[in-house]
Amino acid sequence: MNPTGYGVSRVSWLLMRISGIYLLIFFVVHVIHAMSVLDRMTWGQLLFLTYSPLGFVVLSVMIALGSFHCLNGIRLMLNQGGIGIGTPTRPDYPYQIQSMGKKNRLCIYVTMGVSALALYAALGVFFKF
Amino acid sequence: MALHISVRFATGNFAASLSYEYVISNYQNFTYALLLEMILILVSVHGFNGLRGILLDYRSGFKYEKAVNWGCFISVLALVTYGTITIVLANQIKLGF
Repeated sequence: MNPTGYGVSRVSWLLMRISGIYLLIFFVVHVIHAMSVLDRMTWGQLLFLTYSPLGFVVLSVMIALGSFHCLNGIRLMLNQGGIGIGTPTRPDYPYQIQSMGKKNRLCIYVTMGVSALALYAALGVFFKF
Repeated sequence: MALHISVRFATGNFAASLSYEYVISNYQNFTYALLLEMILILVSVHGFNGLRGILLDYRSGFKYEKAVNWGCFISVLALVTYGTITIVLANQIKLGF
């Protein structure tokens, strides 16, 4: 679980798990909450939870973590297909990891950047700044 | 998922997109209801399969693995059934104007 000392790939691995668990909890609560649409009064009452500062923060974090989970998932799918992991070479000193080259690391940083922008944009829409 | 989220912002007003009439009209659009059902099934399976993978990474053992596998499978069935009931019943609501 310790993300330090292993490079950015371990950080992306940990973020992938944290975002996945957050999104699953959000999804289960969202499906249960959606049942309230069957009664107009209950829908109105539960809408107060969504339409509150806490609700906006929860939604914004969902959008940011959803963006990260989606983009990082696409990167991992491409990696599994052999794209972006370099060609196999004999392990010679100084033992550079072929599968975690500059392009792959850049992809992770870009994914984090896009997620941060998504968080900023979502907060901007909800809190109107 | 992106399509579902963008529908909330498509009206240009997030609050208006959550009005009771607008949400019910979403459910009563056959294509959108089909999209919701697909999202429900795909995300439930993907999410609980991911959770299963995480839980199996940290402990092992025949009983534990069996409990995790069955627990996740039953959770998917329960969530899909619950969500489907909402979609079907919301489809039958008659709005009085």
